[in-house]
Amino acid sequence: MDKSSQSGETDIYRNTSDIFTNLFNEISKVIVGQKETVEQIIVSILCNGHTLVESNPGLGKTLTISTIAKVMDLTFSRIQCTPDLMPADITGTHIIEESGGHKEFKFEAGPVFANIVLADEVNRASPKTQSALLEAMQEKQVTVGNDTFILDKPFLLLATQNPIEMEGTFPLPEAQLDRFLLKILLDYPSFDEEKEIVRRYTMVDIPEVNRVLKKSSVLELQRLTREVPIAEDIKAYAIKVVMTTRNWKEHLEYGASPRASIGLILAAKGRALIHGRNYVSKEDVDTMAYPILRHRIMLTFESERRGITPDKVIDEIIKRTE
Amino acid sequence: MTGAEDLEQFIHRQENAVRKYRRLFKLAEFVILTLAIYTILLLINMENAFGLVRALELYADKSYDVASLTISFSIIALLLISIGISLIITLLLYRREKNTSVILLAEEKYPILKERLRTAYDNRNLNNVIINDLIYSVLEGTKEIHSSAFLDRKKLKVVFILLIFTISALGIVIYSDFRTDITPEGMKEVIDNIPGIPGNDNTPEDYFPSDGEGDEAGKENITGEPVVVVVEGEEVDLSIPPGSESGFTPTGQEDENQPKFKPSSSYEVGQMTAPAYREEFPEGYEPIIKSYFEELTR
Repeated sequence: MDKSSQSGETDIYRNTSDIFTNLFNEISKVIVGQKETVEQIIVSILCNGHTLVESNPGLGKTLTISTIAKVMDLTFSRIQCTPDLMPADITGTHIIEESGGHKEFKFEAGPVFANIVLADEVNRASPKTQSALLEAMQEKQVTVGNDTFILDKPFLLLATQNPIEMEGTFPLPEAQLDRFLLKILLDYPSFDEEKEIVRRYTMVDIPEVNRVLKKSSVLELQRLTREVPIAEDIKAYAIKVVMTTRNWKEHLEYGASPRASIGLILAAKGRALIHGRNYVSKEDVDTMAYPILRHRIMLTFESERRGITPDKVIDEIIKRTE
Repeated sequence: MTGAEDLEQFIHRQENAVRKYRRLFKLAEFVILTLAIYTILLLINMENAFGLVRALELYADKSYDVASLTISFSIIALLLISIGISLIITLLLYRREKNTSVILLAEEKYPILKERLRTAYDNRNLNNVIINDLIYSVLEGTKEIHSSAFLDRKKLKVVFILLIFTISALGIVIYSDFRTDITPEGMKEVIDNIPGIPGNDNTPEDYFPSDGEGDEAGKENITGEPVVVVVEGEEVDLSIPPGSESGFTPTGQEDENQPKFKPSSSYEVGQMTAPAYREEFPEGYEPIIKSYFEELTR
């Protein structure tokens, strides 16, 4: 690392507290409540990971993610997934363009070429289209024909799915679910929060946000996140939590992969940075265990029949692990 | 000196202090135990026990002059026995002693360092802006820590009180010449009367009575199970008869009363029940599937 980038990193680190305070304040101008959701999406951005959001319709998923994109000076695009959506509708395609009297192929980039991509109702897209997102998610690149295009950094895919309408959907395969760093569950707002939402969005002036963070700063923060130190025993604890999911046959059909261990430690680092700490606390690991593990574990038939949720199982695992 | 080296030096210093305190406590506990055991041995007149041991009989009344003091053999021997016993007990007590990390101790005493000290120490060899900042802030926090903070004052008080108590007890016993009625001879007598101790007057027959000639003789086997029961005034022999092979009578003669065996009659094929329909369900799912079909039939 050269001296200029080192001093830039130091500057960013010194201002981390102010950066996140401004960021959350700006987002809260538009988004009422949902602090945990916003925090987890930012953790996902800091970790350069992808997020799956499950919520009922009308809870402001699109507004939240577009607001975060705006305050961070990131490009944003939205894909409304339907069963007839084709991979080329996402990645882009070559079109014939006429210039100077002759025709040539030109690549027309699809909506995936953005910093933040919202794939709304991703489980309505066909498996073929869903898998088109795989390369973009994992390799951060898109291949169309013989051409490979590197996606702009940072790249975050935020996919949503609706838990109540399952008819005509294609549930995401486990391999694809594992590629999402976090699964966030969005709940309905409280009475006071809903009153505030109604007040804000029934007035003439709709709330607007300003850019508070440059794209380069986002990349610096991503690097800083990885530099947050973690104690050996806390690292061991995080790994034990993940490994317990593989051994608890009473409730779990199968557990989380080593990718979950990496994700858990990384997400804990991201949360520590957001909270202005220069070390990872056990509390960070415990908090991030839920969004990291809930989509990576599969409950047994008996547990599902008894109404046990993945969060309840994770809760029990955290209590059991020392 | 870099922050990492400062941190290492701090941990090293504290570890030395903690080790020193532990050694001190071990020594104090050893002394307390020795004094306590020596006092007990004096109280039960164990100095007289050496006269009962044939090998030590000659030395029992001997005395030695050590630095203008005349010390009898029994005192030296009792002291050595006390030291030996307390050494064994101390070793046993500290055998499973956990080597508690000084980092965890410091974090417990100073909550401001919780999780920070161990993180800084574990990552001291890395170099980046966050770790450097963490090490610097941790070193600032450690300035308040003194080695004496790791001294367990509560334990120190207890040890001190016990030491005073045992010294006082020993002093009283020595100067007042106070002794109990328990003597080695009396203890030998008590031990001799304990049944089952080898060398006592009891004969093996007292513990393992043979069949004998009495009324009850021959009605029990070695495990105490009755071999003969009385049913309606008639004695019934319960001993297992020899099998198809020829057995032996208690006198060693070959048993000629061979039991007669009758083959059981075979069942009539025409009265066989039809086999019941059965399907192997996966383990644990049977009650669930049954309850499902029961729900369907309601």
